[in-house]
Amino acid sequence: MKWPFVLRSRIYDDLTAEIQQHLEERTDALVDSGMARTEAERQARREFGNVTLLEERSREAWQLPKIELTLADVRYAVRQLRKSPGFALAAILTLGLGIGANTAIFTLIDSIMLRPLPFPHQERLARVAVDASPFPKGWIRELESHSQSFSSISGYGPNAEANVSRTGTPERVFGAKVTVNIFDTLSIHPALGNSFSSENGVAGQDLVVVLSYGYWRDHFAGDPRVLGESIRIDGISRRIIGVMPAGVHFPYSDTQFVIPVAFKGGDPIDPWKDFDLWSLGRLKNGIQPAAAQAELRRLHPLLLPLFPWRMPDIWAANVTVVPLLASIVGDIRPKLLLLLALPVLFCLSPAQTWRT
Amino acid sequence: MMILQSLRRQPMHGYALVQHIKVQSQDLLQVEEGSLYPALQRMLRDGLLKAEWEISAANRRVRTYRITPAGVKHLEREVSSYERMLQGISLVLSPAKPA
Repeated sequence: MKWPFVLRSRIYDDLTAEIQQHLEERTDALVDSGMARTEAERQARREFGNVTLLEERSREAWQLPKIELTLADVRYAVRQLRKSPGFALAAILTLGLGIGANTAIFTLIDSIMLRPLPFPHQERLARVAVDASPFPKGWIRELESHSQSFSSISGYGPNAEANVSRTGTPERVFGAKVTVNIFDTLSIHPALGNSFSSENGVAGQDLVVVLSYGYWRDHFAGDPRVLGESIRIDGISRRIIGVMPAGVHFPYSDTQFVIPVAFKGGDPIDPWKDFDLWSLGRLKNGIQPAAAQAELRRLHPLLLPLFPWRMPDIWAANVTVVPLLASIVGDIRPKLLLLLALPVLFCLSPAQTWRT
Repeated sequence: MMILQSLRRQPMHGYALVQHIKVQSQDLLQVEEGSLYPALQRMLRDGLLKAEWEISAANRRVRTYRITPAGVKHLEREVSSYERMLQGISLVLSPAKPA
């Protein structure tokens, strides 16, 4: 503050007295010129103008105007609120809840709709699925090699809890197996080290692991020298070859490592026996999901005989290709927007109450 | 400037200042109270004036303003720049002399 409050209040008192004196002197002068006193007082005031306004403007010389006006507003608001604590409490709670809810919902919308997936051209990623039934790895391989609509199609297994040990005590950690082309499909590059090579998709050469960024940071102190080190996953020793990029949680939000899906060379049954992979493809540029879906359905009768045994004709016949984001968000988009609108109304309501 | 000049000649209170300027300018200038008091406060703040409560000749308790040395200096600076400005204006406005 420029001037101490005590000094200033004296200045203001002086100013008030001075203006009062000015008015009296003018009144007296008018009375001397023959005017009646009450009329003279009125006349003096009229000539002088708005006393309060003038005092305010004179005081401004001593103030930092914006700050003091704001402070005065704040003081006024506090006085008003203290006069009716019930209303104050209701207003504060309403605003607090409204703002809180708004923030929460915006966070949701931000993460789902505004910057949804950490993958380049994520709009070209699509789930290839049949109801809720997973595919065997052979089927995914054949889909990829025959389809013209996709640049690649990958599979990933369920989130499985595993015993992981490096040295000492094992830990329970979630991991998943993925087909070796997963990095191509997602269009991501490891933050450190390498992605899976095609050799890693062959049994015997598949004893490798790629760690999630968070797991590497928390359990290996972000040390780049972990590459080449081995950890035991469910008793099997696997070499760390890479670390996922930060922010990529794939296939599941708490997946801490991925290991390759491997084919047993020369075994005709192995690719077809386990129905345990979900499928995700990257559409070629300009290909619509509906077109890709139509193509896969056309291919279906041609590929079905590749099973080493006869499959029912209807198996996987009604395959769907759904953009990844839509498959996650589904039809909640309008509901989310509505959700966002609600707290805004909520926040406006105290202002409305105040005015009424 | 007019206020400082008037007070330099003679210390006065607000009401007297209004009257003084009115008379001196032969009624051409009317200082409005609405500008006078804020201006006085600003000059007080800037140390160009001092104010004290005194008893006037008419036996009133009035707040008399005096010019300070800083005020005198300020006035002189203002007057000289004002004169230069006037000079400039009159040069521009005067009929062009043949070259």
